[in-house]
Amino acid sequence: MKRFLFLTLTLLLMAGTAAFAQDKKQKKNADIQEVTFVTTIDCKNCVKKVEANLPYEKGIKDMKVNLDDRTVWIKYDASKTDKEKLAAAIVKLGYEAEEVKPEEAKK
Amino acid sequence: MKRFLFISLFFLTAVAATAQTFHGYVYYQKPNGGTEPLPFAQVYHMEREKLIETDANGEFTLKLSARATLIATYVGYTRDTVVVEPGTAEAKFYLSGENDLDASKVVAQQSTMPKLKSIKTEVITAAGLCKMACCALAESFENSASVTVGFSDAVTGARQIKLLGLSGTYTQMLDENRPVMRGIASPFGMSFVPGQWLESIQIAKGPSSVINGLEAITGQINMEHRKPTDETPLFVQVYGSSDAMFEANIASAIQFNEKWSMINMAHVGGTASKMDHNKDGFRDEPADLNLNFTSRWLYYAPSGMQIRFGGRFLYDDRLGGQMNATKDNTFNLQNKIWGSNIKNRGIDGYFKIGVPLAEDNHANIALVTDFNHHDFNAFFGNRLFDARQNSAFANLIYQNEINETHKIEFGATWQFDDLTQGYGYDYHSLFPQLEYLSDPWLDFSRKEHAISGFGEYTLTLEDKFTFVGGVNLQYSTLHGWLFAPRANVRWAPADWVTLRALGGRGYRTANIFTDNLGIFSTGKYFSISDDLNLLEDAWTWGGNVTFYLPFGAEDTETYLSFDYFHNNFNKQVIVDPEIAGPVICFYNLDGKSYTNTYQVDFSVNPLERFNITATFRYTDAKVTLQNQGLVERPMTSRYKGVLNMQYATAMNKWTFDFTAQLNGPMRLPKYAAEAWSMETSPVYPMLYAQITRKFKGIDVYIGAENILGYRQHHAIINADNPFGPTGQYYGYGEGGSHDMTLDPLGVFDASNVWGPLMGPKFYLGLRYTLWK
Repeated sequence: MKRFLFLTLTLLLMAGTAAFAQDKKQKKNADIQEVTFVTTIDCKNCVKKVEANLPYEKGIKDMKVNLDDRTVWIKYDASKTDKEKLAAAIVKLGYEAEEVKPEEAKK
Repeated sequence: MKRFLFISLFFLTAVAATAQTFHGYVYYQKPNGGTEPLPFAQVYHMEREKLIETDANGEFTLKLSARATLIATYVGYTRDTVVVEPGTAEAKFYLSGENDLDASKVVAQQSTMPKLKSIKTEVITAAGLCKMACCALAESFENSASVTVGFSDAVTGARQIKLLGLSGTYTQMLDENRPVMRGIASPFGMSFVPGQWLESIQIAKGPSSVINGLEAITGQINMEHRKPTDETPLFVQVYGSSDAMFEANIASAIQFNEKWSMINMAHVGGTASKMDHNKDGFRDEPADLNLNFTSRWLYYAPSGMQIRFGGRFLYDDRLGGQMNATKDNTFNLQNKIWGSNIKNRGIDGYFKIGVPLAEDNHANIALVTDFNHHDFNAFFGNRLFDARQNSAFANLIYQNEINETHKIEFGATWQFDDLTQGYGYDYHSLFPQLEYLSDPWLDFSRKEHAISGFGEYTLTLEDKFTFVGGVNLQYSTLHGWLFAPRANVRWAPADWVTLRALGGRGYRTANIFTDNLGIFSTGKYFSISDDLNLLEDAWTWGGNVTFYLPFGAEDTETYLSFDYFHNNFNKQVIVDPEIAGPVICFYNLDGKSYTNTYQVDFSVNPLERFNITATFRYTDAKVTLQNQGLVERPMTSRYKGVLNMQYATAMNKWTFDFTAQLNGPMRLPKYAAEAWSMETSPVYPMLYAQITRKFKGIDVYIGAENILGYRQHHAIINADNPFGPTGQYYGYGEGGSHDMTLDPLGVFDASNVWGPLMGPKFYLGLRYTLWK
C-alpha cells in the first residue's frame, strides 16, 4: 500500500511537469512583450537577489539575468505592467537600469 | 566567470594641465584587426556606481577627481575595463563581438563542471544542494556517482563517504580551503555540517594541490559556506520527515559598512523516534540531538587587505542500540541491554589574513590559522571509547601572478595534533557479582608536529593549456621526512574537447579507531599489531576527457566526460575482520592495495530549464589481506549509476526533481557472507523525488526518498545475543589469550551495512529568505 502511494506521488510529479509545460504554451498572446535592461548588477550575489525578487513583480512572465553583459531580460504582460514600472522594480533592488533599444542591440 | 581583462592604458596628452575632464572612446574591435567607434555603448563607473552612455561617435566625457574604474559594455560584446588615475585626459576601450572570440557565456545557472579549471571539479551549487532534502553535508551527494555514501554500522548513524572506492578518510575536507574534519572529528564530521549553511561544494578527484598539505589522497572536497556579504539579513529553514527527523536553521548576514560584515548561523536538528522496521530489537537510527553554531566575520580594507575570522561550536548526543537502551550504561549493562551513546563536542576558531603586495593584487601574502578542540565520548555495549583532540594549524602562502602566463606560490605550514584516546571495558556493571574483575583500559594517545615547505608553479597559455606542478616537503615528529610531488595538466585543443591528467603522492596518519568506527558495534576483540605504522602513503594518478557537444538548449552546456583514476598504496593500515574467529586485526599492508575507478558523465538540457544528467561509475578495488592474499576490498560497491532529471518552470517558480540510483554489489566479509548466505550484497535501486514551489521570499518543498522502500532486512549478525559469547570472556582484556576458536557467526556484529535501513520517507520543508 505504502509503495503504491509513493509510486502515485511520482507519477503525479511527472504529470505535473507536463501540465506546466502545456500551460506555458497557452499563455502566448498579444500582450506579452520583451525588454532588456542594462544594469549596474556586478556580482553573483546581486544576480541571486534579482532572481529571488523580480519574478514576483506584477506582470512578469519570465526573466533572465546575464552577469557578463549586466543585462536583465524580461518577458512581461503589457496589460499589467510597463517598461517604466519594470525599470523601477530593478532600481528598488538597488541597481540602475536602462533599457536597451532593440535597434541598438541589432547593430 | 569570463577572463577579466585588466588593461591599464594611459594616454597622457601633452596638455596634461587641463586634465580634469576625461574623454573616453569606445571602439568595436573587428576580428580582422580594424576598429570602428561604438555609439550608445554603456560605460559603468564602478566607484560612483553610475552608468554613462557613449554618444553617436562612441565618445563620452566625465569629470574626474579620483581614481576611477570604468567598464565599457555593449550587449553581445565583450567587456573592457580601464582603471584611470586622476589627471588622465583620455582612454580607449576595445570591445570585440562575443561570437568573434567564441567566448563561453556565463549563464545564471552555473555549470556543474567548470571548463577552465585544471583539475576536473564537480560542483554542487546551492541550486544543486536544494535538489535533495539534504539535512547535512553527508546527504548532499545522492546525485553524485563519484561519491558514495553509506553507514559505517547499523547502530551509530555515522555516515561514511567513499571517493574512488576508498573510505572518506582518504579525502581531504576543506572549509573554504582550510583543512577540517581531521582525526576524531571525522567520523561524524559530514553529519555535523548543515546543508543549508552551504553555498556550494566542490569535489576534486585526485591529490590536487600541495598548498593545503599532504592529506588529500583520493581527492578534496571543499565547502563554501554562506557569506558575510550575502544580502540576506535573515534566512530561516525548517524541515520535518515521516521518520521523525527534524531540523531548523537560521542564518543572518549583516553588512555594518563597506569594511565590516558578518554572518551567524545556527542549527538544531535530530531524530526523535525509536523505530525498528526489521524487528531485530535494535533501533534503525539512533535518537539524536545536534546543536551547531557558527559566526564568520569579514573585514575588507580599501587597500585590498582582507581579514576573515570566526568560530564554530558543535554538540551532538546520540543514543542507539537496543530499543530500551538508556544513556545510563550501568543500568543498561546490569539489565543486559546493549546500548550506545556517543557524545561529540567541538569548538573551532580560525583567522585568515590576505595582504596585497601590489596595487592590482598580482602579488599577495596570506596567513591561515586554525585551532580545533574536539571531545568524543562513547560507549558501545560494555566497550568504552574516549578521545580528546587539540589541533593547531598555520599556513603562510606567498603568491605572485607574474603575468598572464606564469604564477608561483610558495609557503610553509605547521600542523600540530595532540590526541588523547583509549578504549576499555566495563565488566563490573555487566557482572556485578564478580567483584575481583579489573576493567582494562588501553591507551593510544599520540602527539605529532609536522612542518612543511611547499612550492607550486602554474603555467597558463591563454584558455588552451594549463600546467600546475608542485612539491611539498614535510618533517613530521612521528614519521620523519615526507616528500610529495603533485602535478596536473589541462589542455583544450579545441572548443569541443578538454583533456586533463594529474598525479601525485599523499600521506596521512591513520586514526585506527575513529577511521573505522564500525568496529565498536561488534562483539569482536581487537588485535593491534605491535609494529603498526600509522603512516599511510599512496600515489594516485588519473585522467579525464570531456567532450562538449553541439546540441541542447541555448546557453547550456552539453557534455560527455570520461574519467579514469588509479590509486596505489605503498603503506596502509589494514583493518581485517576476516582474519580468524572473533577478532578484528590491525596490521601493516604487506603486498598490494589499489583501486581502479572508471566513470562516465553525460549532461544535457534538451529544453530550456530541463536538465538530464546520467552518471555511471565502476570501481575495481583490491587489497592484500593476511590469510587470503589479494582479494576484492570488502564493503566497496563495484558500481553506481545515477540518473537525475530536473525541470523548472519560468523563473524557477516550480521545480521538479527526480533521481534514480542503481547501487552495485559489494563483497561481504567472509563471516557475513556465510551468515546471510550470499557472497555479495544485492544490486538495488533507490528513487528520490522532490517538488519545490517558490513564492516571494518563501520556498516550500516536499519530497520522498527511497520511494521503492528498499531495505536491508538483516543488518546485524547475532542481534539477539549482543553480549555473547565474547562478552562472557572476561578477565583477560586485550592482549590476553582470546579464544580464537569461537565461531564468528556467533558473535554480535553490526558493521556490515550495504543498504538503507529505513523504508520510504516523506518530508516537508520551508525556506524563508529576507532580502536587504
